[in-house]
Amino acid sequence: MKIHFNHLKNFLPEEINIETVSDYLFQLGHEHEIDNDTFDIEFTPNRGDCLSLMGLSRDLNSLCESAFPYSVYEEEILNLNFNFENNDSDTLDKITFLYVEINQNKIKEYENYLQSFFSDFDIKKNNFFTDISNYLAYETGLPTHCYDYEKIYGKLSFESSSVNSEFETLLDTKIQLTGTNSYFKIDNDIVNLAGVMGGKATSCSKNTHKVLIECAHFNPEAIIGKTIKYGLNSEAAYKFERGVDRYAQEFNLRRFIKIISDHTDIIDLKIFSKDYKESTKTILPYNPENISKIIGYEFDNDDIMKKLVSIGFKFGEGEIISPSFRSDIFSENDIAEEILRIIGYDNIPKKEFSININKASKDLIERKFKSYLASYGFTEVINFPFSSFSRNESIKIDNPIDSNKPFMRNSLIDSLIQNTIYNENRNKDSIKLYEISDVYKKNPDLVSERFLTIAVSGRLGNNLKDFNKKLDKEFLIEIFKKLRIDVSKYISEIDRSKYDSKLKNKLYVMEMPFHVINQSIDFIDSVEIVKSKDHEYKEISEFPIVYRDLSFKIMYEKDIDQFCEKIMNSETKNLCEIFMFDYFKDKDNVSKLAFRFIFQSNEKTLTDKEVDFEIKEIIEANIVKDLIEIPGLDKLNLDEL
Amino acid sequence: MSSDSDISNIIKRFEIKETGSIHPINQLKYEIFDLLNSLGFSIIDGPEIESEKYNFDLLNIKESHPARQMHDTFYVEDKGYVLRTHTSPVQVRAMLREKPPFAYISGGKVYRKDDDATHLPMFHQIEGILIDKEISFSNLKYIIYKIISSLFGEETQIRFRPSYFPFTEPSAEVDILSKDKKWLEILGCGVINPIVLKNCNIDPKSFSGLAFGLGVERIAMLKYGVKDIRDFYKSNLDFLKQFK
Repeated sequence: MKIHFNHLKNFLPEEINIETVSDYLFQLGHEHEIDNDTFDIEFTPNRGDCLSLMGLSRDLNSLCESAFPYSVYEEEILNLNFNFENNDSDTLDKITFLYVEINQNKIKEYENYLQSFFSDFDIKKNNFFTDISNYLAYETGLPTHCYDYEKIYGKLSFESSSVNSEFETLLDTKIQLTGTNSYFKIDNDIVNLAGVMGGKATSCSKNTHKVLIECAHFNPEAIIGKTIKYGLNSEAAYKFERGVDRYAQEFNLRRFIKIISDHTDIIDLKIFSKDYKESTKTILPYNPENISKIIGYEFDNDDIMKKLVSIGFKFGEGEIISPSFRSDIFSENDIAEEILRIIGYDNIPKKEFSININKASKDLIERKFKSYLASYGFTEVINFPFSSFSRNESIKIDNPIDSNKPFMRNSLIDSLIQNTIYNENRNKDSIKLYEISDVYKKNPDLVSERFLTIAVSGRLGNNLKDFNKKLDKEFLIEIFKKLRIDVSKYISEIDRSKYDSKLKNKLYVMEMPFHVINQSIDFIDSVEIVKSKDHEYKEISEFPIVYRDLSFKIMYEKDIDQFCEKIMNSETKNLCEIFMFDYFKDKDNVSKLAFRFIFQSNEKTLTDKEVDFEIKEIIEANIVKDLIEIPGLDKLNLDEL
Repeated sequence: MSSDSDISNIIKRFEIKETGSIHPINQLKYEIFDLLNSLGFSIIDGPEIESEKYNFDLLNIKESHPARQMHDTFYVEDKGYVLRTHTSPVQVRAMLREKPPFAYISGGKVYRKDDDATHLPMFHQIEGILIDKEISFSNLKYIIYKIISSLFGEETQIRFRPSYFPFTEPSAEVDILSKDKKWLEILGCGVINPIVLKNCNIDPKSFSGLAFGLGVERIAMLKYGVKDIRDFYKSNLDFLKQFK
């Protein structure tokens, strides 16, 4: 909710500045950002009482003295003889109607307090009564709804029922009401969607001079979800959902009258009020010792009591009475939170303690197994469980985020194949992935099982030993042989034609229940856990890699070490990886070393010319003529680059 | 002059196999588990598909609470179950099963109906509870300081703010001051609401408790400097291999 500091300032001590108020708001739990002297506050859902200038300043009163700066209409108001029928007093438990007739021709320019609401927030004015209603909700937090009295053509009543009819809102939008709704109607016509938005049929206009102003208290549960259901944006609903003060209706309407009278002459004024529920107060035991135990800190009780009074609480003999606007206070723990907010959470010292409880042994098998797989170059992936495939036992999501994926996967294989193809498309030529995750089935009850799934494709590894070997079924069998587990029955080769994959590499997957690993618990238990390190993350590029292979002929063995050192430390703008993939010594003892240089830019797809230029830089930095030759170098035409 | 064995050693350097990596989210989860385990918390686990009773009712999340709406929670099998929206139901099951005192942590995947650069429909949470006699808010502060200084360093500035969770009272959100002097929300915590203790057959007159919950992705983003939460789940080897 947006609250302008200039408006709030009227309720606070004159000398206070925005930074101090900001600090106080954080202390009280009202997280916010400040933009152009406006607090954009994210109130917690239990603090509906703070959704106004009056409410927020009231909450600040424990930290800085605040006061309501405006006056209200204080004269006696005659009763309105009004035939209103409430058919659902569980939802509408208190209502007040105010009838006002004004001299419509004498409306003055808006007073500063009213004008600044529209100008500081850049809100479009509507008509006199609606403007006051909108402002008043901001000032006091109680929404009101204005009916053009001359448009009330029959008996006004309230009810909740299942409906299926079109409703035109006062914002000219037509919505189709479905399911159970709470609404006001005139005879059989719905004229106001309760607590959400009024209807076009009875809305006020610039010509309205007789108005019926409704100030009601609805059960929040009847309002929740309605704005989302009907795609409406309603400040009133936001407030009703969080709870408004059911006992402040008359005060609110008296303030409404005062604002009217600040701007025009009032010709007639009448009020109708009905409370359908016995009035109750929240009274809780007040024992400072108990509360100190919850907080873990002994506070100055006299000071705290004074401050609790300043924010509306009252005290009786050993008890505390919560103000009517605090619908979130139910227990001693709630009072403890109030006291904590007054003291400041950050001012409570931390208290050391020890947990003298027998620790259960940690289940480290999965973690150790992951470390084992990491030693073979496997990378763990985690996928979302949503799937487009339905198998017999698939669980269906009622409200999927993607309608194309309405099922919970009961195999991890499809996810792993997609992960492999994704990385192949990024020119990765040695892919070893795995995922360990629960999958869910309906059998007939919901059952879960933890699966291990592996996918491999491409070279065994990008190193001198493995470069020319392929990842295959035997590789997987070999890894698990050490664990004395025969996994051959779990491995299958994937038919790529079913997937969007043009590569011809063989792609193998393996899926088995994770509990199979327990067969090898002794071996796994001896595996050392890979501890996490401090990682320095570098943003990844979305552009493809480009590689160049170069073979170097080294005349004298004594030069190999230094050459390798230099070549591995090569640096160019887009060089990101180097590895040796071939070594050969001929009959004359001349060594041939082949390196792969991998380039990738964060900004674009590299052209051949750009890569060749960087290759030239590497060669020029490393080659010592007469000692090192690069077969085929002449074909590269480096001089032209 | 290099000998044959020198050459062989040089060459061997290039035969070293590249090691793989554990997913950064799981790495961080294990790191936090290790810390809390060293403080006396035991690790427990529970199902990702839960009944509303465990996911909401027993945690004092009323039927009208916005979190229970279809636009926030994934329902499965004709509203019979939900994909758990937090790891708290694991704690509820433990509270119903065990007699205090106890201290448990649980961590794993949770689901909410969100999908943008900062929110995902699936993310990871770690939650801890401790129930014993006379556990207070100041004890909670002690444990939160321990967690944050272990994750971000002893010098990290911490701020506690009042907040609202139906299952804790008082409730707090905790921020840390980033290098560029901005407060960043890091976790939620509080004193366990006596209603929740009662719901789980624990006498609130004899026992009190503390609870805290951390979003693992959020902490990973801050710790590693990852800007887009979606990067964790693209399965991109260039990304994942940086966390070796």
